[in-house]
Amino acid sequence: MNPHWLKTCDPLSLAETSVWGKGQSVSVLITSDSLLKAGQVMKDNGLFLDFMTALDVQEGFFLSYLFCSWKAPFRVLLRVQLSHDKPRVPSLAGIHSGADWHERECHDFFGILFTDHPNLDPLLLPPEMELRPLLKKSAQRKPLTVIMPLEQIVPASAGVQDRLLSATRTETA
Amino acid sequence: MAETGFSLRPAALDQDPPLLNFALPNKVVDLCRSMSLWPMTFGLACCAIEMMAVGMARFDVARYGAEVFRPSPRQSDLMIVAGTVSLKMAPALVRLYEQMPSPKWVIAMGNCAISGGPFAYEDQYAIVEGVDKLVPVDVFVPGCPPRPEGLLEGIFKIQEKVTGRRWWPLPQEAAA
Amino acid sequence: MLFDTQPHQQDGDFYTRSFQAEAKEGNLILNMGPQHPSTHGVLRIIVELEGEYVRRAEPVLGYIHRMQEKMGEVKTWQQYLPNMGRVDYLHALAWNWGYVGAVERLIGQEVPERAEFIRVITCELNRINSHLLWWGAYLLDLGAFTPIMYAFTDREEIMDMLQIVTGSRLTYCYYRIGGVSTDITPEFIDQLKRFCTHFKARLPLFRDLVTDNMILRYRTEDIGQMSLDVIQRFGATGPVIRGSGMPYDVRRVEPYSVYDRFDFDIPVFHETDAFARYMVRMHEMEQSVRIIEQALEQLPDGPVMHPKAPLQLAPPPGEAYFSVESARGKVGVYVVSDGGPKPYRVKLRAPSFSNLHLFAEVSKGVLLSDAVSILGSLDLVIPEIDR
Ligand code: SF4
Repeated sequence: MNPHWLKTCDPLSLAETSVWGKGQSVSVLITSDSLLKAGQVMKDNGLFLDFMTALDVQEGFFLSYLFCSWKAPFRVLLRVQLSHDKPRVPSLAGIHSGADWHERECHDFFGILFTDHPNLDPLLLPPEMELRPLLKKSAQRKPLTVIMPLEQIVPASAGVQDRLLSATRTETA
Repeated sequence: MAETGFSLRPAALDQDPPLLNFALPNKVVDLCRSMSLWPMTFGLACCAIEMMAVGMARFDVARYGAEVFRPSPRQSDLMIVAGTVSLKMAPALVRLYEQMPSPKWVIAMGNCAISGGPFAYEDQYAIVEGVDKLVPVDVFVPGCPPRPEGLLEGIFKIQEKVTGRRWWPLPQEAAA
Repeated sequence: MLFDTQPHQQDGDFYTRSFQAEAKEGNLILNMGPQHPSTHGVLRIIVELEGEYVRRAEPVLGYIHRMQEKMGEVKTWQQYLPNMGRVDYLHALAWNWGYVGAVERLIGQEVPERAEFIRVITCELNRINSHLLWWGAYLLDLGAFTPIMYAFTDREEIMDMLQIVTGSRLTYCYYRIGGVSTDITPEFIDQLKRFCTHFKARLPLFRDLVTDNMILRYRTEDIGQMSLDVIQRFGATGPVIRGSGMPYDVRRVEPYSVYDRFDFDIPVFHETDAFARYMVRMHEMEQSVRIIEQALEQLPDGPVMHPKAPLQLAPPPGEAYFSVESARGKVGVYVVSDGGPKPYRVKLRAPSFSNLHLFAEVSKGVLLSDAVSILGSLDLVIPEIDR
């Protein structure tokens, strides 16, 4: 089936990638405002949060949330881009309880602020530590366009997006 | 190591004086001690599994009297630090060491406990590069993880240190 | 004055204080760990006790945080590989596989068929090894000392075999990008065949010795029930979810390598309690033996390393993810390359991380002694959680 319901999470763009494993993986770029809504859509469609993580790039932080299906090799990747100076994003802990610790860890490592998070105490680092260990030094930061081939985020051709979102079943190429 | 703004306190080194201070009784007591070491279960990571293996049937540390692993520092006289000591763990390690009654000995088991092992690299921010920065170490047992035979040899060394002589034959002597 | 009646504002550390702030008047705050015999390493759990009952529990992590994700950015692609044996040292080969799988996917590297079979054989053998240790240690938590002796007797045999092929006892680094480092020897195959026959006779012994034991039943049945809904919300995997009636196993749902060629069952139990999780693991050992036997039968000839496998790696920019079923659940390795000799980012998705997260939820209102049983039934490996 085509995941046509992905429409409902206000995607900026959709792409299909193969680097996440056999079966179907869809990468969905959204804004941080629609994250909560998208999280709810994932839950309603029976996907669970596998993990979430951030990537420190020149443009800011690039967040990836991986949602997997319990029954089939099907996954959806939510991608959110944040700026360096105001890294704030709503917390998914209210919808997917598992997100709680993943976000706490992300806060430890990158200093990203998750609004409405139940408890942002340091999870892995000692509470006295100031360091954000996974932040890159600015010389080492690379632009996102260099490390992420574009077709993994935006569709390679215009047809892909329409095909994914169409309600009728079409053959995957 | 990266700058973390984290300070560590090494353990206090004062040991209690012995209750009796006569040479001959002390010698006897030392012998008894060395043949019935009570290690504390201070398993931290991978090396702890090999420490468990030492206590099990094949390697059977009970042959050398050191099988009584105690979870409480107050009942033990040998601390086997088996695994990586992180900055977060360090204060607990120091406290447990201080709570052990004298005389007490420490074995640093595995490269992590000796020097940080595979986790000591430039810019690392979370581990203590060697427990000897925190507590005085009597015997170092290298390996990642050391084989159980290695730990047994470490225990022999402690016995040697306590009594002044080696008690068990070396492999080549045993074979001859 | 003999007793100091002033409240100690500065008692406890950061976590205790923030936990205490929400505690009910008169309840006892107890710290289990970070050095505690039943937390299997350096896990710390703060519990609020009302009499013998746990009102609230909060795991505190990080006591064995070993910067494995940071290390990925410091070492080169090949140098990082040996570290995978140390993430989860009980099922080290699953992490080996996760990482080489992710890199292979990133660079489009093929793996010879014989190597795939060897990977399956050794990985399953390692799974048995891991379950055996869990079995012994769990029963030790519940107060039975003898089983761990039995478990280690078999473990030593498995470790002997794995030592023949991998060269180490515990922290293996055996898989390589594009294959495995050495071929298995006829000696290993013989020994393994003998072990399979022997082990199939051992399992009924374990059942008679322990599984049917009344005390074990009292300590595990109807203890730590986790509804499927809760487990799904937390994203827990492995025997934890299979003990609650969901047949989720990466080997089945997203088959990798050659797992689709073997005939094996995914044990599922519906009771949702600690005993169900116990049974899942006991049956899994049986299934692993089945897989090994089939794999030995079908083992093809050929090279074990792809002739074009790169020694120096500078993968093209991009990302890749590979997930593997380990003894504890879904292991996932996510790598990002910027085209250079070192990874740009490595993220390790550890199953115990999500499994432990459940604990705070299910331990509410249980007896403290049952909390220990629940904790053991999750089969945690702490360095995998803290990474
Ligand atoms: S020395 Fe090696 S085996 Fe031992 S704790 Fe460190 S990494 Fe693990």
